[in-house]
Amino acid sequence: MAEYVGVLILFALVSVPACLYLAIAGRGASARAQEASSEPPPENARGAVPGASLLVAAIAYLVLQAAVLLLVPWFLFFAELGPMGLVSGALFALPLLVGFAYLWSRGALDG
Amino acid sequence: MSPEALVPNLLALTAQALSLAFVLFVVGVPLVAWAERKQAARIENRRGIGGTAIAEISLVGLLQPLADALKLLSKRGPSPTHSGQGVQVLFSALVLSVTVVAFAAIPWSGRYVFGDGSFSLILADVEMGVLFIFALLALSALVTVWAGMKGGIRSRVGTFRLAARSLSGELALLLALLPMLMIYGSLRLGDMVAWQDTSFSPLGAWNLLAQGSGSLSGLNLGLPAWGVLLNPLAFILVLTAASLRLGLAPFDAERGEAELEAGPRGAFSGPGLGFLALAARLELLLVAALVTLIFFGGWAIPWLPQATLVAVLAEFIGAWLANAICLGLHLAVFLLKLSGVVFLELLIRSALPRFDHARTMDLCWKILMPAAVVDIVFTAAVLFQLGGAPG
Repeated sequence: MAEYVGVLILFALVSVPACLYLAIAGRGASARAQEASSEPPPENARGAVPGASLLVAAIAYLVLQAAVLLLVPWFLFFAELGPMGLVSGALFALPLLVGFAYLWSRGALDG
Repeated sequence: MSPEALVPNLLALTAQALSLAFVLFVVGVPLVAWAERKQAARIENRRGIGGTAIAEISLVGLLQPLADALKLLSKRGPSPTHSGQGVQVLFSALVLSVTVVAFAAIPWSGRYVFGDGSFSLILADVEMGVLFIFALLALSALVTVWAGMKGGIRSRVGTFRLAARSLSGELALLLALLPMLMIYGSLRLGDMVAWQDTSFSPLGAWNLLAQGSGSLSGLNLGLPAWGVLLNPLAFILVLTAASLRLGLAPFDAERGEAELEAGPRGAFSGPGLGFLALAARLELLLVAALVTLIFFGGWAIPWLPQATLVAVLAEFIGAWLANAICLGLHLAVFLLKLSGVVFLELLIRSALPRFDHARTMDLCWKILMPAAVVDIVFTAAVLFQLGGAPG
């Protein structure tokens, strides 16, 4: 875990000054000026709902990304696993590929 | 770690972190911004930037990025206390910070021995290097989407599109990278470069040919074992998927001047917008660094492995100086390759028109992902045939 100390230090060195600068830069701006210059607030924007493309992408992403992340160790040690490793990996990936083909054939992936 | 060693170690890490931040903000981002505008102007047959001068010094436009940054940062931002956007304006700082932190896992040189210890130009040599960077980029996208959802209706529409593109692009990028993980057998970027610091004969075909011809059999025509030569398809897929994932051109439709919505950026102004612009340039640099390390051998010099170079130099000037010269040479080589990849990315940006959202999604799901799966199967078959990693 010692290598993550450098990461924390770098994060602090960038985020703290950036946040402080934003706080100072926004000092003095009135709420009225802010409202006049910005877009309509979200409560007036009920028409903006996520499209089907985003929902399908999100669901497919959740399923496939989890599967791929589970497979990362398999990919790293693929060469040492031998024929059984190849077969077990293929068996794991097959249902995902079938599901992907089904989504495609139903037109769910059309942009 | 003993308490006596803790304070010097923390000081050294802080100095390294400060140096990295300085290099990124003062050298990296301005140079990328300058190159981007100069190259676009050259391609479009314009003069481009060059008019900004401080004390009558213009430096062929190098001061223009500084002037742009000062202009954005000196504007008054939204009030964190009055407008109810306190959390939102801080999102831009978080996006910038997370993008900078991803550079902590990028190695800028190999590891060199000095006396009893060793030295490497990397802030955090994490074992899960690639996944660590992926996690931070995912966090950056999540924060951007969160900020965009708090904006107005136009900001929301753009944010939905950005969310769909980011999710799809991330999966495509990971799939496209898997063949390289299979070849290198490691997630640590330094290990990947060390693996590429050698030569290979492409599929042994040349050797077979040379055996049949007496005059050619003595030639050593091994190629550098760079990822781009071992698996060119993976290089094309990763470059495309990374651009798509990070919203770099030509997949940055929501940033187009002709678009009504600016995505999550529509919710920001002044310094917040400036921070997001900085983060976008840093992301371009990050992708270029990843591509250089995974596909172009990082700091490796073709046909001159690190061990050979240090051994040859050490005979004349001693081991310490040999390692120091090797460090400088490798850093220069890495920066040269990095500049080449940045130039390639900017060329793609200038040469291709923007893709609309539907075409981007089609490209991702119907071309990139199936091609990545085919590449995985092909790589697995070749590795299985070879009985392990080639090289």
